[in-house]
Formats: sequence, structure tokens, C-alpha cells
Amino acid sequence: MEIRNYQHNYKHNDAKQEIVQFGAPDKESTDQNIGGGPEIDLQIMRQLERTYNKLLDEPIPDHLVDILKKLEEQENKT
Amino acid sequence: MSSEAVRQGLISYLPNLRAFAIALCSDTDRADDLVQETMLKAWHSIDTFREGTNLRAWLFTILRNTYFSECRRRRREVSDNDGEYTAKLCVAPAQQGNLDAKDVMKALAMLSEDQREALILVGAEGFAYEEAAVICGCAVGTIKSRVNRARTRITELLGVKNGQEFGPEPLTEAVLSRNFSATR
Repeated sequence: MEIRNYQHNYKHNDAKQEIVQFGAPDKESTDQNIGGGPEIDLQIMRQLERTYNKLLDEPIPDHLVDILKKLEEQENKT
Repeated sequence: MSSEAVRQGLISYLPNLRAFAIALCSDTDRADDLVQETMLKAWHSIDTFREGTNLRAWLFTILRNTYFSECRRRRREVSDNDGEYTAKLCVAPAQQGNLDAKDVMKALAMLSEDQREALILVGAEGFAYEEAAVICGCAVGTIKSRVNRARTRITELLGVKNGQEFGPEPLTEAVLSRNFSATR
């Protein structure tokens, strides 16, 4: 069943192509009939994914990237 | 592992670490400090990383441990593991039938920290339950339970009653339907 095979694509990392099964509500959660059932579950998770992808797409501040360069330079000096 | 390889690894996971940090603490400046500290720790303790294992999971573990250590040190956060406080809160969608990222971020912030990190790691970052359990230092069953409870809670917080509430906003929908009929 499609809902039981929610597929999530990573972004910005080596595992970009990896597909992870997620969101299959186990018997426990479906028995509880949360907020309208598995369809809502799926929609919630997709919305979460969209929100998170927006965070992933935010530009990285330069100072975070520069730190690594400085650390490497320090190591090379020593 | 060579310093160049470490640097490349850290750079490639920077967006993920930063997104996770923002989702955890709901504060961009604090998240950047958290990522910076994580990178420094990772760099200085790279000898403890076993080559061939999961660098991403290792970095996420450092970040979440740093975050929770900081929380304990600051003692500013309200501990709400039982969800009693958050149970009293809810997030009304910005517009009827149109949930956006801000609503989700608000709702995420209202989850207990345990539930929030579990939901982000598994639901957003795509870690397997087993990997998330290692990162959080708990049992796989605990992670599954936290994710389920988080999903239930976030559904309640967002006040979602049917799947249509996640559809495109009316304007987008109108444009899409126009384009669709034009191609027919």
C-alpha cells in the first residue's frame, strides 16, 4: 500500500539517492486512529519534509565554512 | 582519515547539521553556534571516528549531545517530557486550509525535546530508526514510540482534520488548474 511505503529523498548529502522507508504507521498508532488516520500521517510527514528542505536550502553563513579552512591551516602549520 | 577528507565530509553535511540545529532550538543564531561547536569538536576528536562508519550519524550525535549539554548548562529550557505543558498549546494555521512552514516550525517547537529530535531525525533527515536510536542513545522501540507520539501531537497542534488542508493555496491551485486545462 502506497501509504505504508512513504519514500523520502535526502538532500545535500551523499545519501541523496537513498530511499528510506518511513512513515509506515505500526499497528499501535493506527489503532489509536490519530487525527484522521494514515492519510493525515502521510500529509503531515510530507509537510515536515517540505519545511525541513527549506531549512536545508538556506545559505550557509561564511563564518561556518571559514572555520574549517582555519582549522586545516592550523593543522598544516603544526 | 586525512584532514582534507574530514573537511570535505563536514562541508557536505553542514546544511544538514544546520537544519537539524535550527529545528532543534528554533533559533538561527543559536543553531549556528551549535554547528560551529559541533565542527570544532568533530575536528578535534576525529581520531575517535572509525573510518567506514557513518560520518553523518557521528556528526549528528555530537550536535545533539552538545545541544542537550548546553540546555542543561543554561537551565533555561522548560523540561516537558511528559508533554503536560505542550498539551495546552496549539498552533492555528496562518490561513484556513493553508499550512505553511512557519506553522510546522511553531508546532515542532511545542513538541517535547525528545519527540522533536526523534521526529526530525527519522521523518526529516531520513535516518533509520536504528540509526536514530544510536544517535539519541536509547532503544529502537523508544524512538518508534517517540516518533509516533510526535506525529500524533503535531497533528493535534496543527489542527489538521483532513488531508486537503495541505493542498496548495487557492491562488496556486487556480494557476495550476489553468495550466492543466491549457495543455489539454
